[in-house]
Amino acid sequence: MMPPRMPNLILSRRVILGGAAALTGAALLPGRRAYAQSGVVPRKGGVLRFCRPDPPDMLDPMATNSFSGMEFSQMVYDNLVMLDADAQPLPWLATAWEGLKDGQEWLLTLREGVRFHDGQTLTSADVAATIERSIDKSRAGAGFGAFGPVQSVAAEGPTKLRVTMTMPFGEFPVVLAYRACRILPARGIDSLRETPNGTGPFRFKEFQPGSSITVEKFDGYWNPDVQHLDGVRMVFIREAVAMQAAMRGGQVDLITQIPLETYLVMRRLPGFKAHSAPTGDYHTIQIMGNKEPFTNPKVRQAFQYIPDRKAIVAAALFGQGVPGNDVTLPPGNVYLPQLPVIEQDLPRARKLLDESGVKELSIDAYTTSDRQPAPKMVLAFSEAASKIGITVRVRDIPYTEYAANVARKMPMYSSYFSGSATLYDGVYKIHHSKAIYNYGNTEVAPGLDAKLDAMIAEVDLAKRKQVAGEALKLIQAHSDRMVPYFRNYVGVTSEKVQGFEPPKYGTIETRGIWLSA
Amino acid sequence: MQALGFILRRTLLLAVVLLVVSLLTFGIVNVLPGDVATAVLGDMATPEQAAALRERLGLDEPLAQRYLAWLTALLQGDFGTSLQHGQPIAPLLMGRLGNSAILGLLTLTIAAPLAVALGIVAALRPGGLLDRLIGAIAVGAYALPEYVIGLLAILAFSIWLPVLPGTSLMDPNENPLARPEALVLPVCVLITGMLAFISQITRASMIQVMASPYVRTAILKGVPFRRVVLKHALPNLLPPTITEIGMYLGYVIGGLVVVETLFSYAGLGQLVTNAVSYRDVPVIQATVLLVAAAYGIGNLLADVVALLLTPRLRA
Repeated sequence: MMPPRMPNLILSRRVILGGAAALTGAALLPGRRAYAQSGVVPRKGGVLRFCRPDPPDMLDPMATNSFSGMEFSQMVYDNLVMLDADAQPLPWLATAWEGLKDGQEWLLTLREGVRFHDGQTLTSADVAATIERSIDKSRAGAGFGAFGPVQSVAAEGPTKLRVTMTMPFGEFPVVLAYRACRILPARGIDSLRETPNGTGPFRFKEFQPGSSITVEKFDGYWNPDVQHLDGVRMVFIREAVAMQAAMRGGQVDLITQIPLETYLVMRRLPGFKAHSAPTGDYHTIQIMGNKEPFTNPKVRQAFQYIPDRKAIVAAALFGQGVPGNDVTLPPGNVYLPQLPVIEQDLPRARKLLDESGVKELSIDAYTTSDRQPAPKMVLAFSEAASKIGITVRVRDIPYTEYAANVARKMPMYSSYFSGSATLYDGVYKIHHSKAIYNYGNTEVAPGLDAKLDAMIAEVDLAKRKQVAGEALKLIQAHSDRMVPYFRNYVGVTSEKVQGFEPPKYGTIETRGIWLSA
Repeated sequence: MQALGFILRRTLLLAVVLLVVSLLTFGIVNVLPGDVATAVLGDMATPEQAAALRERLGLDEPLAQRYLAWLTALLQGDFGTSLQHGQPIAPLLMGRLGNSAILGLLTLTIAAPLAVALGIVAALRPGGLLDRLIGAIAVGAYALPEYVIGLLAILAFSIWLPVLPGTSLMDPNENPLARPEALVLPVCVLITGMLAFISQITRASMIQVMASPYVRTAILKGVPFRRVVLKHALPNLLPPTITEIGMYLGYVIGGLVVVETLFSYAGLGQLVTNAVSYRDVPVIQATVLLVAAAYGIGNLLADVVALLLTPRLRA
């Protein structure tokens, strides 16, 4: 079976010096072009009833850490660019961008005539304030560092601004499409949790914590071609059976982040469209390189050969995913070099463990049922490990306790990452010893940090691929996180929902969605 | 006068209980692992990010200082602000309090008389077919948690036989009575647990009353059986049963948390579930205090009614 193909990131001339040539693409979102080509005219009107299991942690678009919060911000705010199907930046609030000094500086040109929901006009001061907030640790929240290694930002007139990086950063235009890079108004930028105010197609109407969020069409939106709905009502149903009942009873039009079991049931039913599509989302088993026994590289290598990845995909994901290879990019990614396929090899694992000097090993593996199906993955690992005399006790604990006492603190635990369009988010921020998501702040292989720095700084695509390939080989051989699988997005829509596309990077795009009569 | 004194004493006691409850809730929530900073920022946050958020939210203040500040504001009628959402708590509570009250009162209004009637019917022929049937159903219903009964109800009436909505999808500012169909399953689930418990308590009390000398005398004197039951047995049965129902309020309130979350019903239960997930201490404090007050007042009312129905106690 061919692996699913992920969007390829190609740092073309359009990325470095982009925007103007792609202006015509701004009216149509990736994938929505099919409708335009088929001659179907999207119907205007209607309210999309959008159901998720979890309410948002908060409505601040930069600080939110939940997918529901990010989906809300995607409706109410805009990014400077959008990504097309190949993860190439399309002009959005920025109409052009130019890399200077080999990508150390970036000059952005903003679209004119864009208004915030409170009536104010978007200017470079708003974008500068947004980027400045993202580099302020005390104000950024989860969005800290979202715009990349930014050193400073300066407005140069109402629609132009210059962003200076701490190092050459070729992926800057792609990073601008990231979930935490919504453009915020300079005025009230720190109180958006209480008073959301963006330039997006929908304006905030009401938030009932724990129950619902309602947004309504913003009549002054700059791009009405992608704005078909009168509004969106996002509701939260925790229990999967109740969620399924709401969908089958016609109370909601779209259910997302559903358990795989719900997907398997719903895909057989008439009147619904069940979606399962590859993403770069993955679970990890963290084997922390800064904690015993995983400071020993042989132990980490031994653990890589323990899980039966194909069996885990079949049993835990019911086939809705692909095996992982201990690198954080999904199969098909353009940057992936030829890597050996890691498969279960228990004798080899035992041998490596013997070579490491660790004879008896008994360890707790923490996971949380709030991040399904991670506990099944850890349980499968535990069972396989027991066959070579390793005792792995599975500790399933509530997420809040997990976030407080396990992440970054325990030697072995499961974690979750959503896919990313950039090497910066997908590789650098996870593996560089000084990066935010390298939980052990460990350089797992000598020279890895230098290679990752070079990878980010390199603007030339061919050279960048080469450096990235070298870094990824080191990561696979020495990593302190196993990636047993990449999982598919699964969700269900009613037949009247048109223009829906399974999200590649975690959050659902409501621009371009319309409801048939 | 005696009744008034009783009510005053109980009200004072309730105030003390509420103070203790608030102190315990505050202590327990703060002893639990994690806080709103780790809950909101998640497992990917660095310790520095969590510390920065704690500072912004004032969570770096000493516990005693935070509790006293909360208590002082509460005594001035201010429930505080949600740490998670930055919204004032009082408006969050208002609509939800009404919704939960509707759900709870509907349950009580239907379940209490029905349970008493079933208990009496079962007690009139102990060991009879009806008694055994009611007993078996009651034990089964009592043994199943509301969560399981709720799931089974959704499966049966919303998925297999789609006649009722399996979820309320109600906002706090909506009137639940405007959509009665959305109330049917949540109320039925709550009723099931209550019927089971109260009917069996009533049955046991009724058997005891029917075996008492004055009832036997009335039967031997040839008073019609229906009159014996309604005029002589029932007035003696009701006071302890009403007290039991008052005690059972706590169970109904606990059931509300489960049922509201399961059926996405916008009540206090749903609010507190979310607040606990995010360790939103002021919201948890306010909700628990309201629930404790409702339970205390419900108990007090039950005792007052029992007092009024018992001439011996009134004297």
